[in-house]
Amino acid sequence: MKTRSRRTSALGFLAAVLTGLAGFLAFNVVDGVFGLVESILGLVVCIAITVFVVQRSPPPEEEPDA
Amino acid sequence: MHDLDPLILARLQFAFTISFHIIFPTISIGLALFLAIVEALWLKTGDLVYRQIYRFWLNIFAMSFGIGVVTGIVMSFQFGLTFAKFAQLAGPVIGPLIGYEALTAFFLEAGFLGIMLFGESRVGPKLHFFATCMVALGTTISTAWILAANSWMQTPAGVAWDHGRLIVTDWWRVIDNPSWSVRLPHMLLAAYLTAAFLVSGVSAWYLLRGRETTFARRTLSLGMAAACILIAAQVFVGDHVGTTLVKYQPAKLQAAEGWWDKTTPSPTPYLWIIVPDQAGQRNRFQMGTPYFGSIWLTRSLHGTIGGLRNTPVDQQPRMVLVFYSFKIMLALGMTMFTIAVISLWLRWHGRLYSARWFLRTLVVMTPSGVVATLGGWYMAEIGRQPFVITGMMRTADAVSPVPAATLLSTLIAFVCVYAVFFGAFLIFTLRLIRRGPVGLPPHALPSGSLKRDLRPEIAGVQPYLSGTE
Repeated sequence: MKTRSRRTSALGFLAAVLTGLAGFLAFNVVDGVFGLVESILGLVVCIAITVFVVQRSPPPEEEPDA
Repeated sequence: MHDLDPLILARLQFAFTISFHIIFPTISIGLALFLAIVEALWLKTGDLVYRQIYRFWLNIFAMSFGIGVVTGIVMSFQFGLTFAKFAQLAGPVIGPLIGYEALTAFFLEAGFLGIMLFGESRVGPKLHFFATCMVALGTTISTAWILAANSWMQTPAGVAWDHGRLIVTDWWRVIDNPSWSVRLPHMLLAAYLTAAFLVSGVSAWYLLRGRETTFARRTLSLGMAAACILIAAQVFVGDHVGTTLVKYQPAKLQAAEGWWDKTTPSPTPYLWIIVPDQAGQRNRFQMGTPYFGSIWLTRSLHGTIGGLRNTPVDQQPRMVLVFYSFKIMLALGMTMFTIAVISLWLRWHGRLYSARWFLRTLVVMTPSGVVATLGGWYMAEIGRQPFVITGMMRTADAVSPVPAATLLSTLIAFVCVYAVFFGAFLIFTLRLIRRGPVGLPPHALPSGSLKRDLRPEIAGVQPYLSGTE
């Protein structure tokens, strides 16, 4: 059980680091580091991901309290 | 009193009044769009929580709108009283642009604001929504005119000299000057981001205290979803503002990046902290991230840029002010981007409304939009110095022949009066936030929705429902 929770938290940490790196990459792509076309595509992808996450995540009323 | 420089005092006075003023339009432009979206959602869904959100933020919008109008009028007078020579020279260009802004403000914003504030029970829901949209449109058009005037001062076009006076040769080029098309969306996005973080921060405060949870969750959801899209768009547009600076106002960008060298080392670090020595044309101390100057500014690993020594000394802005204004804006923008990414992560895992560390961060970030906007404007205005109209008129030549004592006394008066304004705004806003939104009718479900057959019986919502049922 303990091994499982450790593995879960390690995977969670890894996922958080990967999300951070993805965010850093997204910033640079949208900022135009890789070119104008890439920055426009990056912007579209950022908007699409936001819409996807907002639509697929549980509605505000169904989440647990703070 | 003889030691005081009238130029510095005139600039200080204008800097103070415009810094104070810009806070309120920024909030009201952003909140106007937020209110239009919330009212659209209310009309579409009939969910009373949206009406609750609308009513709560309408009060704060009205206060910021009112102070924004009053403090804006003061600035028009300052053009004539403190910078009369500027008004004399640039009046034929700036005057009509500000006049159109005033017309837009009076006809669209002020007219429909009455319906928005007091018409809920007097007009139908669709007309009320139309009024909200017109106010939002009015704030946007007002911004467009003001940005046209300011951008013309940054990158003048469409004018010619005629016996020492400026005459307009092409009105379209005056309005659509080289920086307007990028600075307008930059400012609008800044205002929308300000509102997004303002509503999210207040909602996070409620959630941390376990108050108004339905209202706060819905508002936070809207605010952070908007912030995710807006900050990505802002990063995109911000890069284009930088590209425009490279071409038309290189000195401003050189100062903002903190480099003096004619050519920077290869690879160029990205500077975050500097102690500049303007007289010595060097940095006493500097600290940055290796390679990122080349990557962010030249899109290559080893590219170099030109520093402020490429601009003649008598045409250089004060580096320390421009640099730190820009870095504050940039750092806050990057923080917003990080928060947006984290919010998506938390939302995906169902913890957006329960991760207390994140909610606390949002509370701290509540005024971040205003601070970032001020940073951006300081960079824009101080970076244009020593010119009031880039390449055409120096600020020193624009000041009215007013004694230093007069400027100092009016500056003190402005500080006192505006402190009262700001204090009143803060007290009333905090009181509104502490009091919380007006409660939902007793027939509301936990989510705020009403059973369809009960809706027409709810007093107070009848005017809204009559057009939607």
